Amino acid sequence: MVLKVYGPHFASPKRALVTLIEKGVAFETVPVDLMKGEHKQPAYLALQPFGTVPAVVDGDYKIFESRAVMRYVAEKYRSQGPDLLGKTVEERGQVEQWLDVEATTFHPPLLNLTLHIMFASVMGFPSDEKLIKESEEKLSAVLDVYEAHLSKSKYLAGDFVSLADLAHLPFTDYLVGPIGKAYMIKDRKHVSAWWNDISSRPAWKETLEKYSFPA
Amino acid sequence: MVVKLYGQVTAACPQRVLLCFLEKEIEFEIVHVDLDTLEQKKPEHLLRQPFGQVPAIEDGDFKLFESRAIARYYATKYADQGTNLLGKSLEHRAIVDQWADVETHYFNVLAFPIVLNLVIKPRLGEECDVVLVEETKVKLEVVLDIYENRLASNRFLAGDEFTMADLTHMPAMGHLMGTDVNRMVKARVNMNRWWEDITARPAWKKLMKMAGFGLA
Repeated sequence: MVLKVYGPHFASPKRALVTLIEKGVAFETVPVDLMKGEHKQPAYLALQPFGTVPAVVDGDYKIFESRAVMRYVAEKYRSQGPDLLGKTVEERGQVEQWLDVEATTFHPPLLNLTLHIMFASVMGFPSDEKLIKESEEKLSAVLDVYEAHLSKSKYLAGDFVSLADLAHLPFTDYLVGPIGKAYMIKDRKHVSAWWNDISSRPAWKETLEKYSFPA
Repeated sequence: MVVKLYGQVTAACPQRVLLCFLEKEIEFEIVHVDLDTLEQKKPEHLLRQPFGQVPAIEDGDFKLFESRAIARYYATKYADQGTNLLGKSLEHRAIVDQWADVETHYFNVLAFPIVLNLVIKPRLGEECDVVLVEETKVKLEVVLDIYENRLASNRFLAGDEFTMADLTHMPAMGHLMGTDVNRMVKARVNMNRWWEDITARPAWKKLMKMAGFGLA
């Protein structure tokens, strides 16, 4: 039985999808209709009790939280494709550090921008201009730290691409596209070079090609 | 040479690492970074942690920040010593990671604004955002129902053993339980059982003593 990823058209599941494609692992996807509230139905809540995407089912085994799925796939398929966890315990520590930076520091302000700029009208809440401004300022300060770091390091965890870099792909793709703030990346020389590098990886291109939100 | 932890022993994120050290029986040294005077934003600390937060560690030449990453690193490096915090198989480890990530995305996002407004701001002489606290508590009730359901059929979050998934919740829970949010936990049979179980652990008691919370 093949591994299944639920909700492929949305951003967070793409962290799992790009990892699976990088590692050359076969999988299927199952669409989840968020607009119709499918994620709040009992059948889906049995897979993901918080009612968010992704959920992953691998035979009898179920797992949710996109970064936990990334770690699981990278570990399980360690011997095939690029080593996304580093080669030593210390390198893995650096991968975990930047994966956590993405989760705790980069993602929250970017999520605010995503919800209030891209999805407010669709989801039926008023777009909060003050929050948008504050979130852009917070994200800008974070990107300044990234700029300094990436001037000394090719990728986030060192000279190898890792889960930490891949975790940034889906929502940064929104930032430079539909959110309309590509300048935040492009105006920073090293962040821009890093972004061009990771977003042109074949696995990411395939993810976007196959699972972009239908127009 | 012993690992140095830069941080404040009463703050939640450094406590996450300290608790891991205590569970794994790892020797350590604390280098105090004074949050009340914003020492974490000063140039010397920014060299260790460029986002101006605590904790950061230095272990010989190896440096790391982000408390959850530090805890995972030491739990991996010292897998054979002290409590096993990362599960018995790849599948079990992934479930540990899953519930540890739930702490970051569903629990901490709500716990932090409550603790900030009810505990930290008063100490710094700042005004508490009462409306935000009340709104956040409503969201927290929904999340705690999910935890209650999970703990009804599992002794601990990742199964029948104490793991990183439980440990990572403890510092913020400890702060929350000092506010009126403790009602919400006590009203839920399984959460209450879980909290009493994990706070009876010797490592937690040692941590509380170090942090000056005066428990035996």
